[in-house]
Amino acid sequence: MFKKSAFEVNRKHLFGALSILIVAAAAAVTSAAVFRPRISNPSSVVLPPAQDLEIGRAVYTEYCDICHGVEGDGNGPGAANMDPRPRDFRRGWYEIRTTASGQLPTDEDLQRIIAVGMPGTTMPAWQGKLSEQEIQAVTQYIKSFSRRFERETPTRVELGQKVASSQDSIARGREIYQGAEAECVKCHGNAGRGDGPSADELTEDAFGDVIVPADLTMPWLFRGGPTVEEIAMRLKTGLTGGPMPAYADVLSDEDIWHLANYVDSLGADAPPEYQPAIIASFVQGALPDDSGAAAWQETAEYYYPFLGQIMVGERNFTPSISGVWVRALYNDQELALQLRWHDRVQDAGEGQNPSDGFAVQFPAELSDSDDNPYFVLGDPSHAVNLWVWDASTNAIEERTARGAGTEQTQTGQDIQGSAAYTDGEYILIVHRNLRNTVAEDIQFELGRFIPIAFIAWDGWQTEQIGSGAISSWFQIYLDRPVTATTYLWIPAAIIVTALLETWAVWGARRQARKREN
Amino acid sequence: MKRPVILFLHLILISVFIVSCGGGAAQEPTSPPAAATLPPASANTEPAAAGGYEGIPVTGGGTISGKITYSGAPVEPEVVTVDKDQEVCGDSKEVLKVKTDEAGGLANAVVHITDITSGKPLESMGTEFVLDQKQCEYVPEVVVIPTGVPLTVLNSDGILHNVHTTPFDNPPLNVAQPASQAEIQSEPFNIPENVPVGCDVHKWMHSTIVVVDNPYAVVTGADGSYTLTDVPPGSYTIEVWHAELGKQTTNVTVEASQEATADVDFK
Repeated sequence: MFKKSAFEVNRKHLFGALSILIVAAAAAVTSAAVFRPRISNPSSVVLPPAQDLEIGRAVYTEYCDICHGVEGDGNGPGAANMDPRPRDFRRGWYEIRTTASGQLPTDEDLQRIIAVGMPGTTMPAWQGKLSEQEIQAVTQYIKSFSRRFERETPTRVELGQKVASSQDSIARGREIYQGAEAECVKCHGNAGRGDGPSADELTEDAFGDVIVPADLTMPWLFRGGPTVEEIAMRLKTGLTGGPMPAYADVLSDEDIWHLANYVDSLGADAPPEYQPAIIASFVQGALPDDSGAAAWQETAEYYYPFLGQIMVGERNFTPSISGVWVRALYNDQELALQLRWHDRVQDAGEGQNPSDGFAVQFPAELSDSDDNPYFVLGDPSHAVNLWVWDASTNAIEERTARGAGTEQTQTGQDIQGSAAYTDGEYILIVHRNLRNTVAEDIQFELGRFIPIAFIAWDGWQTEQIGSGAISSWFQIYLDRPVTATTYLWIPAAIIVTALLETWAVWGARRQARKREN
Repeated sequence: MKRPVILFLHLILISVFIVSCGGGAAQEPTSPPAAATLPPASANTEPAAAGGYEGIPVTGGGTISGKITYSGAPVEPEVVTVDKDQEVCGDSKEVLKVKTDEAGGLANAVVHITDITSGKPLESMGTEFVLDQKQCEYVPEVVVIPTGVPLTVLNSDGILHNVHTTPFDNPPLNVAQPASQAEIQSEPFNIPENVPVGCDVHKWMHSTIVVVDNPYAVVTGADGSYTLTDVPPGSYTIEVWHAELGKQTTNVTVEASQEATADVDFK
C-alpha cells in the first residue's frame, strides 16, 4: 500500500511538474513571439557603428530590400504595386521629421517610423517584430545610403508652448487655413477633404508619382500620426519629398498651434467603428430627397471601409476612396439609401478621365444559407443586383452581373437617384420600390438581414467599376415599424399578467383555507 | 488530499499565464518608443566639395565666346489652362521649354568650364543671387550660383507659392512663401549640381539652380550668345547644359589676351 501510494504521489508530482513546464514554456514562447519587451532605457545600448552596420545590413536584407531595393533606391521587387512608392534612401529625403525643412531626420525620427510604420502606406510597424537593437542598427544602415549623413548633422526644432485647443484657437486656425497667411485651402480644400484646386496637379517630385493632399477629416491616415503635436510638427517642418511645404518661417509657433488645433478639430483620431448591419428606419409618407431633411438626420449613420479590388482582372492595391457612410430609410413603398463618400476631384467624364461612380450590390436572390454571391460582382451561379450611379449622367440604373465584366443593364428600370458634390464629398440618394416583379432584383422583406456591399471608383485615378474600391458583404435590416398597436401590447401584457397572478394567488389562498378548515 | 492541491496549482498557473499574456498586451507601446541616442555618423558639417578650385589673380586672361544654337524640330509651347489665382497668373500659361530666336540662338543654356582648377576668384560672380516669382513664373528660368552662397527667393505675386527644390546632394528645401513672405533666403548650396526648383501650387512653374564651384559659368542670352572672361590661358572642356535638351561638351584652347570661340548646336 505504502509503495503504491508513493508511486501515486510521484506520478502526481511528475504530472504536476510537467504541467508547470508546459504552461511556463507556452507563456515564454507566447510572450517572446507576440509581446516583445517594449523599447526601454534607450541609452543603455550603444553599439559600435561597424557592428551596427553589420546587424543593420542583415535586418535590411531580411525585411526591407523587398520594397526599398538592395541599393536603397526604393525600387525593390515589391515596389511596383505601391502607392506611394517606397522611400528612396539615396537622397536623404524623409517626410516625417522633427528637423527644419531641408535638414536630414534625426535618428529618433527614423527609428520612430520604423517602429510605428506609416498609416495609409504599405510601410508596416516593425515594433514587436524587430528588437530595439535591430531598429537602431537598421537605421544606421539606411543612413549609409545617402552621403549627406556624413556631411550634415540634423537638429531637432522646438515648437514653443502648446496652445490648448479651444473655440477661439480653432477659429483662429481656420482663419489661417482659409486666408492669405497660409492658404492651406489651395490643396486641402474648403472642408479639408484634400480637394483644393491644386489637388489634381500634385506630383512627388523627382519620382513623378502622383501624390494626393491629405484628407484632413481622416487623421487616422496621416503619415506622421494623428495627434495635435504631430500635426503641429508637420506644419512647422513640411514633408520633404512631397509637396507639403514648411511653415516655420511663415507662421509663429502660436499660430502653428492654432492651425494644428483647427486641423485636429476636423476629424477623429481613429476611424469610425463599423457595425455588421445597417438598420433602415421606417418613415411615414415620402422619403426625403434632401440629405439635410430631418428624417435623414435622425436616422443612424454607418461607416464601411473599402479595400482595393485585387481579386479579378486589373488589380488595385491602393484605391482612391477609403470608405462610405450609409443611412437607410423606408416607407410602405420604397427603400431609400443615402451614401456619402469623399472624392478629391469631381469627374463627370468631360475631361480625359473616366467618370466617377458608385454601385450598391445585393444578391439577386436571397438564400436562407450564407451562400452569398462572390463579392466582386457575383459569380456564374449567383447573380448580383447592382445599383450603378454614374457621374456623367448623374443617374442611377439597375444592372445584373454574374462576375466582373458581365454587367448588363436591366430592361425594366425601377430606380431613381442623383448625387450632389460639395467640397470633395458626394452625397447620393437612391430610391427603389421594396418589391417589384423583376426576377433578378432584390426583394426587400421586413425583419430580415439582407446582404449589401458597396463599390466606388474615382475617375481621376482612372478607376472603373471593377478596378476601384470595394467592400465585403455587410447586412441591411429593415426594422419593423413601430405602430400604435406595438404600444398597446405592453400594457395589455401587464394587465393580463396581473390578472393571471391575482387569480393564481386567489386560488392558492383558497386551497390553503380549505386545508386549514 | 494531494489532488485538490495540484488542481489548485494548475488553476493558479493558468491564471498567471492568462494575466501575463493580457498584461503583455496591455503593455504594448501605443506611443512611439523613446529612441536611443546614437553617436552621429559624423559631426563633420563642412561642405564636402571645395572642388579643388583655387581663386588667383588672373593677368593676360583670354575670352571665350560663342553661340549656342538649336537646329532640331521647332518646339511648340505647351498651353496650360490656369484654374486658380487667375488675377495674378492670367487665364492660361504658355510653357516654352526650348526658347530660340529667329537664327536658332538658344536661350537659357548654361555654358560652363568643368575642368579648370584655378582662375578668377569665385566671389567675382557677385554676392547676391535672386530668383523671383512673377505672374506665376520664375525669373530667371535658370540661375547660376556659386557654392557657399544662399539664394534669395522673391515673391512678387502676393499669393501662396511654395519653393520646392529637389537636389541630390544638397539639402532639399520645401517652404511655403505666402503673401507675407516677399523675400526668403535659402541655405547656402555647398555642392555643385543642378537643382530643380518648382512650385506645387502652380504646376507649370519650373526653374533650375545651377550650383558651380568655379566662376566660369554663364547663362546664354536670348540670342544664344555667351562670353566667359578672364580665362587663364590653357585648354579646357566646355560643358553646355540645357534643362530640356541635355548636355554637350566641346574643347577650346585659350591664348593669352586672345578671344577664343566655341559654338555648340543642339539638334
